[in-house]
Amino acid sequence: MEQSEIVLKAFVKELAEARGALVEEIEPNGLEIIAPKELQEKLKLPELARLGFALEKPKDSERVGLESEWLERLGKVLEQKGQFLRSIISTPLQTLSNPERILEHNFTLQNAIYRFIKVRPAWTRYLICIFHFTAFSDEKRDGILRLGINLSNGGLIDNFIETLIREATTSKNKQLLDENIKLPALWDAKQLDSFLERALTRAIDNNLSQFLAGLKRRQERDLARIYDYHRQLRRESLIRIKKQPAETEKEQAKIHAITREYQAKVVDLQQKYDLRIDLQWVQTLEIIMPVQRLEMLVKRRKGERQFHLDWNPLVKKLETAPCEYSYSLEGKRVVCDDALHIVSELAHKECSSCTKAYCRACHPIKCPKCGKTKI
Amino acid sequence: MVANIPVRLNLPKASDILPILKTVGDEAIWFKLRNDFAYLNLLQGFDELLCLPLLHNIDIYWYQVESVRKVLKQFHGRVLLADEVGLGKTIEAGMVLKEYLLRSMVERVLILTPASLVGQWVEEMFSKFDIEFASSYDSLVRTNPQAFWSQNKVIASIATARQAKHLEILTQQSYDLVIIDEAHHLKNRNTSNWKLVDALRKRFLLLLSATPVQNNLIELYNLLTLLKPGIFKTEKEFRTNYMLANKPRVPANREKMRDLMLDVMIRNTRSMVDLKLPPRQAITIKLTASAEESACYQELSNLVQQAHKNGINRMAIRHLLSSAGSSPSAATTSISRFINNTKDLAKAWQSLHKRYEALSQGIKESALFDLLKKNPDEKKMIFVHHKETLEHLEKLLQSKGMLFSKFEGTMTGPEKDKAIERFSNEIPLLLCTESGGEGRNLQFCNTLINYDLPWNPMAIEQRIGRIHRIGQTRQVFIFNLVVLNTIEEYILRILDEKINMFELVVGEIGSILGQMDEDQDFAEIVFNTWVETTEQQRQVNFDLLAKQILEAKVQYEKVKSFDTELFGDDFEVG
Repeated sequence: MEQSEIVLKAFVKELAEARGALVEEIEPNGLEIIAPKELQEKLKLPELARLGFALEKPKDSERVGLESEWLERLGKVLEQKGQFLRSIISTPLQTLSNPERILEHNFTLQNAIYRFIKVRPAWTRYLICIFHFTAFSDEKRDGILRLGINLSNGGLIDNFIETLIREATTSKNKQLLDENIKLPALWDAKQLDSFLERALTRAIDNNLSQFLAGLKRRQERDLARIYDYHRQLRRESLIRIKKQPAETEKEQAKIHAITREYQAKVVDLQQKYDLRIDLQWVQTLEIIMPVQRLEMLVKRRKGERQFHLDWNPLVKKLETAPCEYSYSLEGKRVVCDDALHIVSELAHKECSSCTKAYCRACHPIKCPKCGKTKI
Repeated sequence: MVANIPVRLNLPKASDILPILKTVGDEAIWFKLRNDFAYLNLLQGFDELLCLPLLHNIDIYWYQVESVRKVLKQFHGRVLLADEVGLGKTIEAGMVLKEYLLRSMVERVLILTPASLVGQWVEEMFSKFDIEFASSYDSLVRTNPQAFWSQNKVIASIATARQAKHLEILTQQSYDLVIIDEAHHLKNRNTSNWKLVDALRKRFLLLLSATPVQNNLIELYNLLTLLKPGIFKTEKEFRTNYMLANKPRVPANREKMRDLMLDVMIRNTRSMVDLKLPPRQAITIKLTASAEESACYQELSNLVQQAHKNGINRMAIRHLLSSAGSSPSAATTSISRFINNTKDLAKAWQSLHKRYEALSQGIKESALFDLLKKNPDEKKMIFVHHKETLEHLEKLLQSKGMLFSKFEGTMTGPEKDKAIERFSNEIPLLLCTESGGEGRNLQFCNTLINYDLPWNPMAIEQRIGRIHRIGQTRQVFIFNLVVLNTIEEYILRILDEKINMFELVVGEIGSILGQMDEDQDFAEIVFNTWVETTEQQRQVNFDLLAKQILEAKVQYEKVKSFDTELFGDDFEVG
């Protein structure tokens, strides 16, 4: 049995059971299901059904595969369920013996200093959003993207999303939240849109860089080929003009036609490789849990700003300081002069027109000096 | 020139997410299941074709699946599919199309074919792939060309598409996928066919031809230049690098040319597929009709000629002649319908209708029963084109107490399954229409009776293909029942006696006819030859037609052997 078949079988079993079916594993590679009426209708199965998941399957069983028809049936069973889960993880909170050292090891500012103020227990709210992306060109590529963020400070938790999802979906204890606990507020639409736009663009860049490079390689090769081809056609015409001046007019017309054809072919190639990327939201997990909050004072020139990073007790790690422009994990962090934004070096690089460095969190649209830079 | 890939990013909005955050949420198990489901959907790579379980009435072979995978993964949807005749290029193209549609990679599709194949493509795309196309048969193409070409899925004859009034509109459209059948008609880059395809804005392009190179290598250059402009540089350079002086068919640099073509061409051969079918034997039983039946046919033929001269709807009068070739009962119904539809109250039609109605039995019926008496336990399929003939035979078989199973297009899926099952397990006789058993395993049967004969040779081939296919182990017998001095007899003289159609590989007749005239179908040519002449001159005209087809066959044989020699087994998927 192939890995995909094993995964599909486990999924069907779990899904059917969640919808109230009695499911038993049968050999070889199959399931026997006694399904309630609603499930029978959605899966198009009789009350007692035998399903086979590999080439070798139980007698009288229906073959289930990853074909769109079966995925459609399973999707109908799932309906809108599972789009949102709120999970309270009440994990024991250890005392940090040396919080300053944790900060020193995990948080560096290139052009500013910070002073550790204190560490204190707190509760935070993480939002983990899961998206499905599909890139369409002359090939198709799709995948899943997961973004995680600490709503208290925009801190990035990409490095431990997996652990948090596992804990939230496997923990049997349903926790209740004490009314006195103070939680960071949910972000408003504007803030969330800005986060999605920047973080998803960054994540898509990372995920599709190889795919895009492949497209570019092929397009470059095709462009070079048609360029050589038309250049040679042109050259042949010019040679004919040289040899037979009487044909000049005819050959000139031909050269014009070659130029037009070349331009049309370039447009054709651009259309061929044109890339459309569709992102669809799949589900969101909200996790509420205790953290150790490390507070600090960030200083840049004469400015000061209070800031904090949370230490997660489940993974025993400090979250990554956000780039307050791109929400990117990569790169070192710098602080801007005006608003003391903490951003990645890339989000504070020089303008490509006037070469003055500026903060993209302060000026997301254009360079404040020359006004020309495209973001 | 630097690559520049325009990227359009469609991002979700906060408004998709925020409302749900205000709800209580689901239980963890549902979150996990949705998460697992999202990943399951990713497991459908090109390695696993999504279209396979969704196809109908088709036997899929491994080399077709491999070809489709290769087109999708390696060729990025631009390829010359040059499988030898009978290996299913149309099926492969349909699978590629279906796969792209299922993966939302194409939306706008244009299929260009010779005029005679438009209907067949429309029918196959619908019946086998569940894809509905508009076609150049629709009146919209004439009344509102702009609206016609704006449709997302169009099958059109290349002859229609290249007309100036259509060309202008067509070249303004953008297509995700363009399929060209019988692509050897694009062999000459100075023709309007070639210029049309070159000018189309397209992402994916499938060129289909069993005989891509007809006369010289320049034709191959022209075809591949459509797929990948510049692949062989300019024509002059191609001539210098790949062609020998005075030997236009022999490549000068075979290895290098092959290496370049490996990126744009697939050609599966019958030897790779190991398609060795047992022999076929066709027996044409020519019958002399009774004096009255013969006189009725003669009278009908005269009336049809008259109606043709008067400009009466061609389809209607063609149908009359064809139904009379099928059976007197079919002729009776057709004449009655003709009188009703055309309001032609001429006495001659009324009288002919009465005379046909009075004919109790056609000569073919007794011949059929004689055939059925021989080897009564041997499975036999009786093919009938006309519904009235089918109903008549049904009654006749019942009256004689003969057991049979019936299979026709209007039956439901389970009824069809049952009919085939009965034929396979219980009953030795299957009475069926053209759709009889398409895509079903009927190789246990090796005898086919053409009770009547479609004028389109490809339809005859399709009948034969039901039993003469992979899995058939015994010699196949084809019995043609034909009445002397009918149009069907003339057709058989050409197809059977002159070009031995019944010994050809299934699919070859199309290629032979394709050598003649891309714009007119055989049935139409035959009909014209029949009605546009005197009875005395008819034989001469049919002999002339036979001569042309024979020449086309010789030309086809030449081209086939040339292409076999040129391509060998270098472009197979196996």
